[in-house]
Amino acid sequence: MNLSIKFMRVIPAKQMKISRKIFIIGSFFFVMLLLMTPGRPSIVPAIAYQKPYFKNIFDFNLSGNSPLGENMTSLMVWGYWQTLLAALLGRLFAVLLSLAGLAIAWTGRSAGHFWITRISEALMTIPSLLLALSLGYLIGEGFQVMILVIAVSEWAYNQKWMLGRLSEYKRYTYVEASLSMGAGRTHIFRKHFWPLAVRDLSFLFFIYFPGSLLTVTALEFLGVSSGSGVAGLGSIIALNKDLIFLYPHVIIPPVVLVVITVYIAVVIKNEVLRPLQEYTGSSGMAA
Amino acid sequence: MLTYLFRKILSFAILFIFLIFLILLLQKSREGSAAIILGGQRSNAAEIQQLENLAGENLSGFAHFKSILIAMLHLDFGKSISGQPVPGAVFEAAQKTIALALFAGIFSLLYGVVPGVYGHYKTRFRKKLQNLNYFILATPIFIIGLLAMWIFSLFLKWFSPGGVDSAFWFVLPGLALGLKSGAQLYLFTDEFMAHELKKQYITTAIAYGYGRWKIISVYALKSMALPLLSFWLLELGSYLAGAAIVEMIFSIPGIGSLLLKALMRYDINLLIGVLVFVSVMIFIITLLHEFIDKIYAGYTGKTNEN
Repeated sequence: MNLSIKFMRVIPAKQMKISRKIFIIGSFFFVMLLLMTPGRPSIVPAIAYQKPYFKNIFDFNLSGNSPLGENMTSLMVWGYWQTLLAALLGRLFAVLLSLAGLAIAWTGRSAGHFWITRISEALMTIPSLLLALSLGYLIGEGFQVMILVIAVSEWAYNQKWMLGRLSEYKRYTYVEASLSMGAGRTHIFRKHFWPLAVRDLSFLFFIYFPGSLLTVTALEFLGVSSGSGVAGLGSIIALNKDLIFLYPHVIIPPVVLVVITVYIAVVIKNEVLRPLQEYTGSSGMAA
Repeated sequence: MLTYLFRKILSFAILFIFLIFLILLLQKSREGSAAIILGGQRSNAAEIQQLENLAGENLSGFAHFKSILIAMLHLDFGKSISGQPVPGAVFEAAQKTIALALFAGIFSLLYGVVPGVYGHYKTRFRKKLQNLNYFILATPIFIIGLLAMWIFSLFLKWFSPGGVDSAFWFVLPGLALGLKSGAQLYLFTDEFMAHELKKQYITTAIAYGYGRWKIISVYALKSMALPLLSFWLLELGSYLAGAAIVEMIFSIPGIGSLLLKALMRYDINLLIGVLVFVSVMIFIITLLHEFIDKIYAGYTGKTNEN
């Protein structure tokens, strides 16, 4: 059955209206941000330095300049894309790692399953933010470091979910039939588990996405830098947090951007993905 | 039970070894030295050497790993790079974090359960409360902390903006820490109540003519107690992560601040000490949570049989 038809059936009409509204508002929000994306932020000449609310008439921007004379619109939009990209890629790698873990747990028989379970359980005893923070500081700065840190710190939760799903996959009659007919474990993984795992992992990707975004902003706030020369939203907030009464235009827009994005992601997760997940039977969360 | 405990302890031992291995691997592979950072430009070679010995930087990766494992087996957590014994530093900081977490836990319980139950009594508030709590969940903890500080401390001047000198130092950071998990608890309570109120025994109670408030507060709330406690315990674990952010904003010398200090100074012994403390706390909380889950399973099983 077509996924969109399934989607229409599982979401009640009232909820569908809310979801459509969120989708329209969200799309508008992202298109506006894309259209607004100006050049890479740079510091304007020293003449603008330390002049609050300075606005060069030849360099029009919507939200004024930072205390260092940077174009705030540019700073914010670039920071936003960087934070969003780090969260998306980190999430993607976490999901891919858990797919690899699933393959090891299945093809490696009981030993593979044992070690993957033990390692993921062990990592779950450290809160993911603290793990990410420790890794971020120890590895050093860099955009790829941020992605790696997010992927490793969130892998354990994804893996635990996928291991729960694996025990369900194994009980499917066609899998038991394939095993009894002598099919190899790799073959079963490729032909039977792969399509199921891809569906579950795509849910997993979106369901934990708000958490990843919050982790990235929190890491940026705590000083884990992407090292790209562009400050993420969390870094902008951290750098200017003491200037709230002096330069409110520098700190309020990044705060609003973070909250709006995570809010959209949380609402989509709770209003759209959860009912869809319950309908399609991806109940790995219970595991 | 013994097998279960053995499995848990084995997991913990694996974590322990894996953690030390990972930290040492990262420390040895990165540039920079704790001794040079702490010693500064004016320190001489002998002082640098002394600091290197303290930080274990003069040892090879494997020798350092082995020495830490052997020391840990003798329950010797060593000294931090500033010379303070690690257990002392960790326990001193833990007192602040535990006080903060307890206050945040009580606040989140009140914030989550009272509106969660009330939303089902006065249903017109339910959707509004749900949206408010989605909004709180979407707000990063550092933004909640900053907003709390800006409003209650800098603007209204009700509380001190940071430190642990005032008598109510824990109130503002505790509110910031507990609000998000309060929102989680609200959504949990709301969902559980909605599910519970559709059950047969509630319909029977309505048919007997009991008031809505009595049905919600006595019957539904009673059956929610154990799952709520279990969920709350899991949330308590998340405070240890949130504490790192809140303690930084409010300048509280707790576990989170200690972790940041250890990371900035490359203080490996202190870092291991803090992470071990955090994982022991989470381990105990998880054990308690699973114990309550088992009681709940037994309780519901007995109810079903009856």
